[in-house]
Amino acid sequence: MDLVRHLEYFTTIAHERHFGRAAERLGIRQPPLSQGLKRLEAELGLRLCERDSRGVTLTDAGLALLPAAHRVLDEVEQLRLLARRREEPARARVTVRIAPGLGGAHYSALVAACHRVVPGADVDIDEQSTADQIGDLHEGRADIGVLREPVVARGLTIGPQIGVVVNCLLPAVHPAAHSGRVRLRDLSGHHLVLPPRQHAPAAHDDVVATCERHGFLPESVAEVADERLVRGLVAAGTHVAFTTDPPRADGDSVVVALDGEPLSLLLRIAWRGDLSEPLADLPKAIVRALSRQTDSAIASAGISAGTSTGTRASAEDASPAMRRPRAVSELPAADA
Amino acid sequence: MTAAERKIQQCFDDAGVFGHLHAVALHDRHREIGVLPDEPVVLASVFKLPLMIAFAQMVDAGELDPTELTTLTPDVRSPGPTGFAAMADPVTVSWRDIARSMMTVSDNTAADALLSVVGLERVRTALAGLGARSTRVVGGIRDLYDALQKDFGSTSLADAIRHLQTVTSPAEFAGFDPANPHNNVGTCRDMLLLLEAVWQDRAASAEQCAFIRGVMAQQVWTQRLSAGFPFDDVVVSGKTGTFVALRHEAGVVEYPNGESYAVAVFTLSTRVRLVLPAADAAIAQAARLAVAALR
Repeated sequence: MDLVRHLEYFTTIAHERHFGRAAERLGIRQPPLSQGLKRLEAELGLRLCERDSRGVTLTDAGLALLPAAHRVLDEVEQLRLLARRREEPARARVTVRIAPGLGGAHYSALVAACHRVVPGADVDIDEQSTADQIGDLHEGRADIGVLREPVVARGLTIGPQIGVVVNCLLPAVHPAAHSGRVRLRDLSGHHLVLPPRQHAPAAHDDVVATCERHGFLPESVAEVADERLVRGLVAAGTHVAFTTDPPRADGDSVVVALDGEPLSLLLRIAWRGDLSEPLADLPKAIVRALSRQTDSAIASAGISAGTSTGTRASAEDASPAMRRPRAVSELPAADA
Repeated sequence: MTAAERKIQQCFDDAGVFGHLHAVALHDRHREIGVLPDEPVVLASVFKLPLMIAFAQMVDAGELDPTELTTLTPDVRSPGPTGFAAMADPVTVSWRDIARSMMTVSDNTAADALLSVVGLERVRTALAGLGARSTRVVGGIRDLYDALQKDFGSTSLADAIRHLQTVTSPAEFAGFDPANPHNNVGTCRDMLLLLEAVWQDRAASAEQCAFIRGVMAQQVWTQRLSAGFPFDDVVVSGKTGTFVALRHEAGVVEYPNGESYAVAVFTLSTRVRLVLPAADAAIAQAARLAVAALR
């Protein structure tokens, strides 16, 4: 007998509690449905259903076996899905892993870019720490990674760098909250909330160094992962934080631009080996998608506005005459 | 990987650098620890260590009087931020003090002046004689600067340096690539072979080896190996190498009870920056972890 088909009869009858409606749902007539159920009962050696004037009720045995019948049918469904996926190679799967720090608008742009590059693909996008991404890229569990700089990875293909502009999450009571713009030095006296250092140690240290470089020595640095807690601390008035969200003025914490754009979330696209068609176009598409979200994002395949400490200094920093740098490198000064 | 090696690797990861390390107990050669100690790295100014040994051998052979004076005029001096390279006027100085300036403040003018009398061939012979087979010295500082200028198609060194500061990855500059035959490259393990020979009076005569050790203990930089051993009675001798993304030091840590440890740490930062204290601190911390594991 066709056990799968007969289990389907049984579960449909159990669901509809009525032979007529069950037959209709299965697209067959009632007599073969009744015969089918009888054959299944004979095969199992049990009565599964009782039929009376009001409809169908399951016997104790029927109730006991129903979950197992569902499980068998679920597995068969899974089997068919897998088979279909294999016979339709066009239905590709794109697995993209992204370092934390981007906002909702970045993600929707990223998904849209993946769909444009690989039409009809299943796009699997998730956040993952840079260290975990390196492992997953090496082992083929992810196709493309968007990692947080500095990326120290052996054996991966290193693609373009993207800089996403970072804004400041400020208490609404801060004097600069409604001017739409704040200088890092104006954050003095506040505590700084950052994601836990262990998520990206070198990048974390760079952010703190850039704050110091521009005159903001935080009262303390609090390491908080939960975004709601971050917003709460900022709303309370004592803390500030950084975000890639666009400026907004409502609520008890607001997002304002940082004067001179001293901070950017530096990301690096990486993958293993060579990308096969059609994925080869994906790195460029990701750069475009993330750049469009912030007009001033630095996106480049080679030449970028550089590092996060100081090279994109605002006009005020250029005023002291350029002196020879300290002897930190065995290079003469660039003005020599 | 042992627990100590994992800690060292983690220390490099934390600083965002590719790291290499080799450390041995010189008083008990069986104890050593390494993280990629055999992977070639561009040497930057660490190449001045084999040059120093070749100079000492030349003195031993009676081919050069170390007290003979020579005059370095500004027009022929290789550029650099320290020592004679940073000075404005002609300097008359002995060969051994030129060597001292090369080692203590990584003076580029001194290195190129010394290389011009010692010659690449003597450096190669010194390396081969001490078994440093993975180390290759193909030129001096001026050659490095010429390559830098050529690489960026610049008409001046200043312009090339400005270009170099805008690259977003060390892969964009051939000067950081150990596979490039125009670069001086070496391994941490080879640097330890050289140091061990200097400390055991095998690299040259006992007198010349003592001279090299004395000069290396006079090195002025304290942010790398020295920072890992901040004790009045511990002597740290070393030679650094620094070239934008490259930060290295090879040296010896000596305790008053006779324990001594040779340590070489090479790092390549993925951030092309002139100032990166995290990388310097990682060298100190990696050396501290290595020596602690060997004690």
